Amino acid sequence: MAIKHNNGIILTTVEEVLSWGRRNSLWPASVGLACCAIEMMHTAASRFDTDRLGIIFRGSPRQSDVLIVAGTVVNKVAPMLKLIYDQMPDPKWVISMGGCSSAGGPFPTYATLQGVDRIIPVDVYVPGCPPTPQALLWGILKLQKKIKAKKEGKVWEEIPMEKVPTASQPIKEKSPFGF
Amino acid sequence: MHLWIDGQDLDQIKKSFDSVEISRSENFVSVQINKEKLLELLSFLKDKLGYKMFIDFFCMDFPVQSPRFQGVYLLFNPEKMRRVAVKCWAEGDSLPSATKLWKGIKWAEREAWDMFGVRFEGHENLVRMFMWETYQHHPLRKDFPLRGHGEVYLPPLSGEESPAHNYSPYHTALPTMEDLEITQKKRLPEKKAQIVLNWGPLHPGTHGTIWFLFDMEGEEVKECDIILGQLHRGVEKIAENITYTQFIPYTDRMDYISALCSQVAYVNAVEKHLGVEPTEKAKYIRTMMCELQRINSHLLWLGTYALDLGALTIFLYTFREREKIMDIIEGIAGIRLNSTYIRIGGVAKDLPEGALDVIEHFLNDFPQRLKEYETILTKNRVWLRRNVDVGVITREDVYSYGLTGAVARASGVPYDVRMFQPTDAYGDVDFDVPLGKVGDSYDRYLVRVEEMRQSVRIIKQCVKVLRQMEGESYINTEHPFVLPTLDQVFNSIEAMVKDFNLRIYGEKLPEGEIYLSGENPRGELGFYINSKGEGRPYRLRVRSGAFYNLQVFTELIKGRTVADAVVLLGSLDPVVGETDR
Repeated sequence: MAIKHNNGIILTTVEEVLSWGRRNSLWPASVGLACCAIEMMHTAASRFDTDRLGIIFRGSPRQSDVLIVAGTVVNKVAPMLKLIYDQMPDPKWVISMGGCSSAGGPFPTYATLQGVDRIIPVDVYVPGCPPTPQALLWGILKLQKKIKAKKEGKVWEEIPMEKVPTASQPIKEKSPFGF
Repeated sequence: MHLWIDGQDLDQIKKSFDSVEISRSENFVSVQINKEKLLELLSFLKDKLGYKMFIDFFCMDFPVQSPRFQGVYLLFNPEKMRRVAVKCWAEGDSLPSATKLWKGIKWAEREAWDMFGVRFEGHENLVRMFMWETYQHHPLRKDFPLRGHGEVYLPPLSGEESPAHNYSPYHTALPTMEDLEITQKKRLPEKKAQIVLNWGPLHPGTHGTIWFLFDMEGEEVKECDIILGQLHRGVEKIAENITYTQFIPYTDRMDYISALCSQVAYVNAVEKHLGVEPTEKAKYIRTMMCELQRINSHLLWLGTYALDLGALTIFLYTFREREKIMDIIEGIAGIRLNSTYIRIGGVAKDLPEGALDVIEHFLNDFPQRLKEYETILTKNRVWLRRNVDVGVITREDVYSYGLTGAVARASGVPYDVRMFQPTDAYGDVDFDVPLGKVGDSYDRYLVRVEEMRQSVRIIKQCVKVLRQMEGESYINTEHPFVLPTLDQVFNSIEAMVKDFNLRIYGEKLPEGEIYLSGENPRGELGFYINSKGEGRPYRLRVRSGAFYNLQVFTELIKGRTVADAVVLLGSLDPVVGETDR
């Protein structure tokens, strides 16, 4: 943690500065696969405007450090997606957006990859079919926290189920029914 | 409203061909012929009887019969507004290719080969449409399981052995990069020009995951082929394994930009076969929601199209309007994008309080916004130079490729399913069908913009009628095959039993076939249902408008530069979820 003095001097570590820079300029590769890509576009467009969080979509994997897997990953596209992931420079993170990319979703078929975590490691899973832009933003904020926590040497805690937002409900600290 | 071939034409067919078998029902009329005479009958229908528009071709699998596969050709007569189906058994698992008659059948035959393993004699390059070349199976065959065979060991990278109770580390076959290379090589077997350029599949400009191959001489494209299947999820296979109501969410996820239109097209087909009549209010709600979705879809098209041509402003503007429509849809249906709102017999929920006010407010505001977009684009010099005379589609191409929707109308073909086959409340509302003159990209732009205005007009009329229908029933639950509402389930034991039965055993559609289509923003979205009297379809075929519209791209790009590829793709407006299914 940086220490602020009154005379404008900040003491910090190189690691901390790097982490601060990385988490506030997450550049995702603009890879849209299916329905979730539309909601990803909505997240980037006028209303939700991810630019204000430093999130700018890039056309090339060489320039990006986050891969948002937005949509169904079918078997045929899996090696290409893996290639894109391999082309991204380190350090890199993956957000799995929606039910399809997280676990196959409603498509338990011969053609669909049952979870993108079988081919590339995933950092944040965002539930929903498709997740709303709010949910994707939640996922991105979680990732920022994760990057921060890693750099400070803490163990990343798992996300409790009740803190996962659903389609149109905001996140509640505690559900009224007590579970 | 009878949309199938009339007795006069059938008599002519009988006179000329003695081996035909004709089966007539209200929803489907088919002519069955043997393999030797098939091409003769098809060209007779095309040239003599005027069934010159190609609609669809698909196969069916009857594993206990011999020959096992049956091909079905759907044709349309644009003068008489009549359809006809031609059936033919594939003896020796092969059929004669009809690519000489209709260019649009090329991809459909590739799909049949990919999914069923039916060969086509005389096809110019019979490769797999969706799967990769080294794939071993033909997945839509009845003996192939829905989940496929566990062929590769693919455990989760996290190292956990079993994250869920039904989790298997064995996965269905995945291609390697070598397999994809073989797939690519087979598409363009003889390289004619200087260099082969791959565009896509994961490229921001390809509107999804379409993989283009351009064989180029300098900057000019000499030959082009498109590899699809990067979003092939096996929707038609899923349909055979679930009940009719359960399939409604999958129609959303096919054409995810116009979910409501797809639902209405599918539900209409099921309803017509079941004999369910939705309530008046439901009809108007459906029409209104469809048109809202059409505006929504065209706005996305306009935004991304302009973005591809370098006009970022329009993208941000149209997404602002889209958010408003998404909010309206979320308020009514509960979900923003893939709103499973339509049910067999009506709609899922009644309109909430104030919904009509919000819609009216949007309608008052929207025409000005549309004017704003037109001010920026329509007479913009850059816009004109990029669009005018690019990708001219002739009337003949429309019939030959089976183009539908705004692409057909921009070429001056008045093909609008809402007009000649008015489902829901389309028969009671006034609207015009805009037509283009030249058939270039600019015309397609103008037609779509005008369609948005017409949609506003339709919604206004629907809102006016719906204002007087407050309190009326929104779903016809009296029919034995319509799911009761949640209130009824909780309050009466009969409704609960009915709900249980329908959810477990499904709606038992009477034995027979039906083909019915709806006017999607992307073209005619047709559903062919073959029922054996069970709770789930024996075969469900989705006739996708985007699939056939995209096919003409390979023809249009020839002789043009790569820069035009973006314009052409944008103006054809495909959605990969629907092309690949």
